[in-house]
Amino acid sequence: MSRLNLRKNWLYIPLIGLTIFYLIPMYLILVTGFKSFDEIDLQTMWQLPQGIAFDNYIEAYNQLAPYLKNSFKLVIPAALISSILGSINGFVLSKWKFRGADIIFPFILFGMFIPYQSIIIPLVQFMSAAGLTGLWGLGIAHIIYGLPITTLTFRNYYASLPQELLEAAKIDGASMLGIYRHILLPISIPSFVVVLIWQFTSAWNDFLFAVILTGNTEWPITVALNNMAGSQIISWNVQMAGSLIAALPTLLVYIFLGRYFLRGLMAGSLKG
Amino acid sequence: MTENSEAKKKPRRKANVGVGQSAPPWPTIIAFLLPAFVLYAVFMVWPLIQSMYFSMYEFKGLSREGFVGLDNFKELFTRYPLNEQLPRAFMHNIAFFVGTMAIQNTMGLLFALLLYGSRKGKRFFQTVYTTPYLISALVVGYLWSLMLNPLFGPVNQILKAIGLDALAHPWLGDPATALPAIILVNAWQWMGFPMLLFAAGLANISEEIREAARMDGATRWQLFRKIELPLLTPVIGIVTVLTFIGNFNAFGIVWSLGGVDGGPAGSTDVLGLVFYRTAFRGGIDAFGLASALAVLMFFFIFGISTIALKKFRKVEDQLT
Repeated sequence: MSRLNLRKNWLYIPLIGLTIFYLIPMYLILVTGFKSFDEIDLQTMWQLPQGIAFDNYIEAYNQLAPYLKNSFKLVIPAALISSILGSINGFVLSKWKFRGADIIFPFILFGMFIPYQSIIIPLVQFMSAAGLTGLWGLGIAHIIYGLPITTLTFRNYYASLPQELLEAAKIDGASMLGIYRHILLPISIPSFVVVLIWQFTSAWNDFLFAVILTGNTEWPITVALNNMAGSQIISWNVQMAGSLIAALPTLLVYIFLGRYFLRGLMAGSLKG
Repeated sequence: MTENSEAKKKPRRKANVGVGQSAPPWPTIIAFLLPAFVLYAVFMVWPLIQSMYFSMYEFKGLSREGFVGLDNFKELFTRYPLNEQLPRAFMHNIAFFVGTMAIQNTMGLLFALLLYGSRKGKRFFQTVYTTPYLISALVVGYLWSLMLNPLFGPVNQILKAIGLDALAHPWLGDPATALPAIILVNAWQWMGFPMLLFAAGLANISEEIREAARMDGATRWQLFRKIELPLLTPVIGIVTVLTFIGNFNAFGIVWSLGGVDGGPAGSTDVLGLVFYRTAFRGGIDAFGLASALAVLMFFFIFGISTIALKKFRKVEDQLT
């Protein structure tokens, strides 16, 4: 039996080893943010801070607060709209056989293979010509770039549902909109969780679109953080505090909804 | 375990089992698809076509001047410093892709297998490994520039503590090690993603097949080599293509660790940064040149991705 145990348990050695490799940087970002400038030193790097002082966090927050607000104003509507559109697309493309579905679906997926760079210059020009500068333009960019993955996820999920579900409703004379609203939408929550988290994090973390499409009053958090880090007067402790502030919203989303995210991601969104 | 059993229980239906004869009228379908379609056409497809068009024009600042044919493309490969930066950045992207496949995705597969075999703590390990990819590449970059700092960075400190003094090194300051360091940091951030995809793939392999192989006396390695690996082909395909697209678009992580010029001495420069500098920090004719670069990047990334997906699909067909 003991041999069996050893055989079963050896795999915890690499699993725990890698865990340490992941937790050390997270530990450091946390403690460094609480340290005073003098404590950032070879000797005290590993030590816990001498006291819990929120000075760095307050300083970082004061600098980043307006941009955090920008990010929320940008990311929440963008994630919602992109997910809803993806759900509608997925519904039509999976449950209604019509000529052209086989063209439209690959056409939308096509977006996954387009590098940002190859559309950004005309996009910048178009946005400024249409007056869609700053957060508006950036929000639209995120909605569009989300469509392929949201459509794919919902289409796969809806395609896995039995067709009888719809047939019954149709015999009762429900309209297409009715079927979507009353039958599919209520059971789409797991997919919505996956897609919303995905869209929220990728829009929140985006830097390329943001640095190109926004000016300094409308920077989202990533660009503001980059500029804070670029200024010479900022020291490591404040920068780490700022980094943690910038990462906190996505981490919180993940902590609270992570289990649904993993489950949903593993269950359905793979095939394509 | 829950997600595994769930995935297994779900009946696999073929996509596109439509309603057939009772298809709704066209106006309804159009009304449903229109919002997404219009947005997509206006903000994605049209700009892409415009990029191709712009690439053949000379620009003076924002204004488009005369038609110049393929001159912009020629300029990309002849004008200094682009003629040096572009091939170098391209090679760095290739190294990025190869390194990521070798390290990040191999580790992802390995740890998916380990987690598959583990009984306890699966959720915990999964959460720890997948947390970093929810964080901005910039934050990950700053975190690791602290870790790799030559003065007080923990990485060198740990190396010295375990007697590997010779390896202590200004990782990001030395042109020879900067790119490998960035590849490793990126792998640290993203390893959890292929791991999840592989885990889902492993969970989809039926227990009967494994059992049959074990009955035949297959070793763990044979089970992996002869059964799991071939059945994971579709996942490997997806992971490869996503890695390829991601690496050739790399931007934030390189920016935060190597700066906008891909330093030190251009040793971490990648196509994304070259594009950014050409378009937004370039000369008066920047937009034409950058559009040409954008078009090349599009054809390369799109072309290779579609070919790769087709190849993997073919392998998959042969296996099933």
